[in-house]
Amino acid sequence: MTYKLPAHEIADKVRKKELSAKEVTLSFLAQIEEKNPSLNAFLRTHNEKALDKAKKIDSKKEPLGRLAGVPIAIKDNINITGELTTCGSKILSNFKAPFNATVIDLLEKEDAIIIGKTNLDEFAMGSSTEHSAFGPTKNPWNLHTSPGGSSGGSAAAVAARLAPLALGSDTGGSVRQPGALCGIYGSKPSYGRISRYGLVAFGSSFDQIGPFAHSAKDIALITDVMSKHCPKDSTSISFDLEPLTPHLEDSLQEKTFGVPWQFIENLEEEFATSFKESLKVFESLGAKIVDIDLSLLKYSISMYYILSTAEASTNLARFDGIRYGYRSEKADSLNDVYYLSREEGMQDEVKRRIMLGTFVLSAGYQDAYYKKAQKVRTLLIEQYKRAFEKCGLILMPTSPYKAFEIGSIKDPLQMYLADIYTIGANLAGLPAMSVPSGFTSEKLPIGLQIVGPHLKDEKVCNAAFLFEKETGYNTHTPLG
Amino acid sequence: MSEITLESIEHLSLLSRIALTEEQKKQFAQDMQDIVSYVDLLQEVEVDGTPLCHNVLDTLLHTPQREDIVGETLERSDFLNSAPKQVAGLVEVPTIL
Repeated sequence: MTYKLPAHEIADKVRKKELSAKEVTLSFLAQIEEKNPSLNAFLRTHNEKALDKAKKIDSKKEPLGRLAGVPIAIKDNINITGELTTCGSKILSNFKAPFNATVIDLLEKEDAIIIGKTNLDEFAMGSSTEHSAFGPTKNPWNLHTSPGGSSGGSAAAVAARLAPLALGSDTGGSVRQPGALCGIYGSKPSYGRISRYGLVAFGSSFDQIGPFAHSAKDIALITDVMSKHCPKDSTSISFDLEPLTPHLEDSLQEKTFGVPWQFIENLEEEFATSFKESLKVFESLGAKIVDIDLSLLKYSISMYYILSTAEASTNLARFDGIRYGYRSEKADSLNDVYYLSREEGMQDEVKRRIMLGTFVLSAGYQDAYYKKAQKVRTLLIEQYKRAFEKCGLILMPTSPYKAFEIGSIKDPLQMYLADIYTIGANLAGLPAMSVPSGFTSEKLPIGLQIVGPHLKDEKVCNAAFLFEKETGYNTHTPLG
Repeated sequence: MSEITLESIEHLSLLSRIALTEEQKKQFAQDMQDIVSYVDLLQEVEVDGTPLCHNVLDTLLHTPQREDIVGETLERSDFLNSAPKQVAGLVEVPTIL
């Protein structure tokens, strides 16, 4: 049952030659072949390349790396040389990346095996993985429901044990929210900790690559591998950052956790009960819970949908049918190449966001929307700093909803509200992780979110690890 | 509150170079009106004297610079192979003039 093992155990066994990388790879490929047709988590797998890499690892004479033989699934907006990077969009349906994202190089250097690419909402814009040009992904806990999004393919893959680890990208909650809805760990590292080079840009001041796993220890392992300064990303932190793994067992005695009670007062009863039980777990570990003021989070969705769409409208201008991907066959003038390739190549949610971003940046509206939101963002960052003077970490729910039925949320604004608890960390660049913290009466997963101060990812992971040891929710799987 | 009319949608369609059908224009006008009405919530926040947020982290205040030396670059063919059409080592586009 190799496919049920966490990543750190797989790596240990491969290093000790108790398991071969080939056995591990075959075990996961067999799972994918059996389960992916009903889940649509992977868009494609790299069987031949993965088995070649496994063979190289098995015959390597030198000591093996920290991720020896660990198969990793990659969201299809992260570049891998020579492989398709579609972003879930028709406009990039035939785009093969000419270079590796920095994270791919870092993972491969530690002997990981890149096993395939996973589904996402088109250009990572969505909270349900329904808005992919390649069909929706299903939640392994209930195939009628959404896995969340936009990194729903990666989340479903890890939850269904089709891969022990996966990468997603989190612009407004796109790793944490699907992590919560799929009952696994989903982490958004601090802005600047992990290189964005080779991640297709959506909202550059928000985007961060983040991992999925079924244990906090695995999150620490892969985050440590990827935390390295990258000169190709000008926002990459250039000084040494504290690693996560050595701090997993740090005591929480006398540590203070803040809860923004005012902001979460409308939580559904089942979620409120679960959240309060999670707080008791931290209290039993010696931590204190205090109330904190994050009243500006009320404006987080407004800020986010102004600023992220503004950034997206410029970032996605490059998809014009000239240099990459799809070009409309109908176009016979240069202008028509732009208009028609974008019209035919992108779906409504992407068009809506590009147009909204164009609106908030346009003459006459820039001051009222874009600049106003940038100023409130400054105020929110200051409010977080004041909150962290009163507490070491912040606790919140990850999602206001449990996994919802596919197709049930039609109003775009309702879908945006799915990210109400996660967006704050992106606006302020903070590290945040969703941790499995219980189940609803229908046995759908609930997630707890732990948010830390700038660059203190090790504290977030430490709290997640100790919570996991007490509760063991990560041992529940949708496999039955 | 800003009003999103069919004319504003047509202007945005032009600025963002996305062709829209008549039906889409009506739908987008409605959707964007809803979204803009929601984000108008921000107008109640007092921001006098608050600077714009140019950087999320204090550590990013300075743009890093590198030595002006040519580094590794991709092959010309790598770029060209990503383009939908190419001719004689160049990206092919419809006649401009």
